[in-house]
Amino acid sequence: MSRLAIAETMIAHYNAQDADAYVALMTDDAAEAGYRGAVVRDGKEGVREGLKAMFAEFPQNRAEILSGYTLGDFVVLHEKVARSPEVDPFEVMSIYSFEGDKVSRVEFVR
Amino acid sequence: MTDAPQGYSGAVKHHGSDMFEGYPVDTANTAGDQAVTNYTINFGPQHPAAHGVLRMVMELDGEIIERVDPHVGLLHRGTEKLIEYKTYLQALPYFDRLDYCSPLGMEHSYVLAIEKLLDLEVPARAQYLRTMFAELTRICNHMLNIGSHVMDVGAMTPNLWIFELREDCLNFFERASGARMHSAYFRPGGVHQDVPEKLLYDIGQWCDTRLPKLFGDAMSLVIDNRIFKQRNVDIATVSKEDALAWGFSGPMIRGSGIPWDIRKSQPYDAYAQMEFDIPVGTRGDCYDRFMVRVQEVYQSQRIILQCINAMPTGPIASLDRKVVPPKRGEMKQSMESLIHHFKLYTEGFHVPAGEVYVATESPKGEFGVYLVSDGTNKPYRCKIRPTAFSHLQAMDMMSKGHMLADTTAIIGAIDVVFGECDR
Repeated sequence: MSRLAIAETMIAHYNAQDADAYVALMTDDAAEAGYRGAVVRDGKEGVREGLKAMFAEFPQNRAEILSGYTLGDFVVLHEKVARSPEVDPFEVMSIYSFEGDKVSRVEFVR
Repeated sequence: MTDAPQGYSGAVKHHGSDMFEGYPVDTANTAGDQAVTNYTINFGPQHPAAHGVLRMVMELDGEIIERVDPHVGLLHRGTEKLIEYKTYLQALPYFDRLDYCSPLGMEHSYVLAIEKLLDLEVPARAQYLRTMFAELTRICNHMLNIGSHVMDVGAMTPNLWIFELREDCLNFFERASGARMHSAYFRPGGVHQDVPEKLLYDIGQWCDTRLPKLFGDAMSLVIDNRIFKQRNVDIATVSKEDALAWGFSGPMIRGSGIPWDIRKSQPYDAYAQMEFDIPVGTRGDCYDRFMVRVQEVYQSQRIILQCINAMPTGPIASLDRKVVPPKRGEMKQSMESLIHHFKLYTEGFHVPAGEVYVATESPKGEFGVYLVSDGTNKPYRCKIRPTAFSHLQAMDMMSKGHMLADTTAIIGAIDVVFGECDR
């Protein structure tokens, strides 16, 4: 599976609100963070717990991939995220770093 | 809708008219005569000579204009308010839709205002390109105005000829930007994209050959034409003092003999490097305003050729990636470029808090943008100073005492476009 396909699969799990399947594609010490900024969710378990809490708060949360690129060792997705159908969606750029076939870091630019 | 002509039945005696002065006319009422009072008509808003949606309430004594009250605002679209809800870049295309006969002239003031607030340096090639296209816009605008002015007073052929030239200009805009009218070509920091060398060559060739030939031929039918002069000379004469008092600018103030041109007095972009003259009128009538525009076409031709001959190489926009997006090729290679692109087209750039007024010499006069920034990515306020508003306010002064049929010449010589006036 290409790295772009891995990132797209993660978004599919994200939309299915399946935190376990999502983190299965990450390394143990993976993290989610702002771009060159503070870590938001640390470690595989931190990501899992963070996602589960977010899914519980926003059961209709959806992310739509507007475009995807592979740039060297990184995959970049341009996404439109809606927390619920009633709230205006926002756009985000997520940058996936890899170690082998696993995602080691996801950084977000908003 | 105001009243249709009132009071007419049977024979007519014009009160207040001196048209029979000196002739042995018996002015005493005879049996069956009836006095005619002034009557009021609506000129427009759907009159073909009203140049858009101008509605003028006119009080007439027979065919003599006694009072003109221009009613504007029928094309108001709330542009200034809409701009407050857009990022600086998203607001740019609104300017194309103000004076849609000279869209790049509108964009010019806006991008200069943003650059002044950002203290952003614009590369030389971008300045030359903007100057060249601003002058091409002037020619394009004047082709429409001169042609329609001529047609408004009765001549058909010249308009058909010079519309060919306007079409050429629109084709040049399309080749540079992809759009014939709403180009969105001037951008904060420069221009959207570079032009091919062939386009510069073709514009140069056009300025050397087709423009002077076709325009010269068309004008040879008009400028010494007896009927055209009868319809324009000594019509709506405006003195220098009145031109200043009414806030005239552009060909309207130059037609009255005042050599006021922002390109000379406060040069922007590459105008300081350009050699050109400022044509002025001597009488301040409709004919002078018309002739100022005719001469400005030749001056614009001079400037365009100077721009092409001295066009420097180099970037066509600032390299500050916080304002100007990266090229698409860079985005395929660089993460930073991709992020800059994403940020610029989602959030836009932030402009330091402050306020600025920037005016340019648009084809119709001083077109100004007063921009207030509160430090966010959207303008806090964007006040637009249109050219036509101050010209139209003098409509009553210019029209009084002239014939109803002169109205078309007077409006034509103002060169009014309501997209800009009404905003």
